[in-house]
Amino acid sequence: MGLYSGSISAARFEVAPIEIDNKKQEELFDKIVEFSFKEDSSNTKEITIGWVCARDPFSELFSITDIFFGQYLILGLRIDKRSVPSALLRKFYIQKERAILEDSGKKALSKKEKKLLKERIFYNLLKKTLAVPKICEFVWHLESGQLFFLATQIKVIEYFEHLFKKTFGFNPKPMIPYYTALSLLDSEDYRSKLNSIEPERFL
Amino acid sequence: MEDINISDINFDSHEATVVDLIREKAFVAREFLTWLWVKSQKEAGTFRIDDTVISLNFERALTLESGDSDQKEIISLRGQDISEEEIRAALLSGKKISCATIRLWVGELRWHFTIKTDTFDVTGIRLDSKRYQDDDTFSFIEEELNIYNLDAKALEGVFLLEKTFEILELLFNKFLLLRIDKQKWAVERTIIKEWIHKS
Repeated sequence: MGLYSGSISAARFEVAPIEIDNKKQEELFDKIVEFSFKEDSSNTKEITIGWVCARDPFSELFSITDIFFGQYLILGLRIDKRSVPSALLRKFYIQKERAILEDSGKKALSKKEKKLLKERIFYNLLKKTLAVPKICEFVWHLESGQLFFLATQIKVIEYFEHLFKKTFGFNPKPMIPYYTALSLLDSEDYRSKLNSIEPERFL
Repeated sequence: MEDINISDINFDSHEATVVDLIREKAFVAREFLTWLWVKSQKEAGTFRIDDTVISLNFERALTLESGDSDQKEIISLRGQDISEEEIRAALLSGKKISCATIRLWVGELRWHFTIKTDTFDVTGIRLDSKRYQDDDTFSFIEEELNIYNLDAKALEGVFLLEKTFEILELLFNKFLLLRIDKQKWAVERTIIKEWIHKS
């Protein structure tokens, strides 16, 4: 549920504020392009991720003005995922195992042979499947350091954090309630009091 | 672009500190939502914080929890038939609100969303009406955010995102200032207890 859908879901992060000018914009843009999404039909990985333009996520080309809007950087994270249904894997595995046993005259495969066979079949099937794309935008107000990632599933957030760190060289801080509280309480005394409170019982 | 073998990402790397903090401090945000619920019932859901008047009500969709991840008890209440008694009963059993759908009015703006207290993630942010897509409002949002050349749909989304978290922070800050002050919190605690025990 992103910027271009009927409703929005988001996890909030914080990063150090950045003073943005043309030079800084170009510097960030170059890093983004390095990790932008590129279509590759020969790719057979389970997961491929990369940055795309939020409003045109299936185009490989985008310019600075497609992603920078004043103090905001708005990008899409594209996650292409291939998967092999377990029933399909099981069917081909049983067929292949049976053929090997008949040819070799063996009674059973060793544990290691089974594992290798399963992996080979898995990757052969993976090559034949089409990747399913998922797009999740993020909105980064560079001057304040406030960042919204428009997805809340833990794994998707981890893909985002992984690529963000690779691209920009630092981790976005997840604004969980405790970190939000620390940022709101503006004195050391308040923060110390927050750390000393115990769960309340309303009984 | 990056090709990923799932095993290349250490999913446990979500710093242990963050995971621990979510677990250890989960009670603060649960108490916040529970406090907000009781205040919304007692004070017609209107909060005045600095120059902002916030009206809110809770939709009939609540999750209440007690304990931590090892000994968690969860109850989900959904639908128009939920009674205050059911919510009181859950609170009396030691549970606190951990997820709620909230409808907000601030000035002309009216919208709703669901908030989870463990992470403060917000889902399903949606305007109640489409009044913010006319030209005047579009210009207003552009000027307010100082953001130009973005299409109306995305602009509205950015505006709603920022507004949602801005209002949540105002309310959370109000709660925190009460919660860390022993005397003020004693008054709030009494109000909450009285409401829970009201038959």
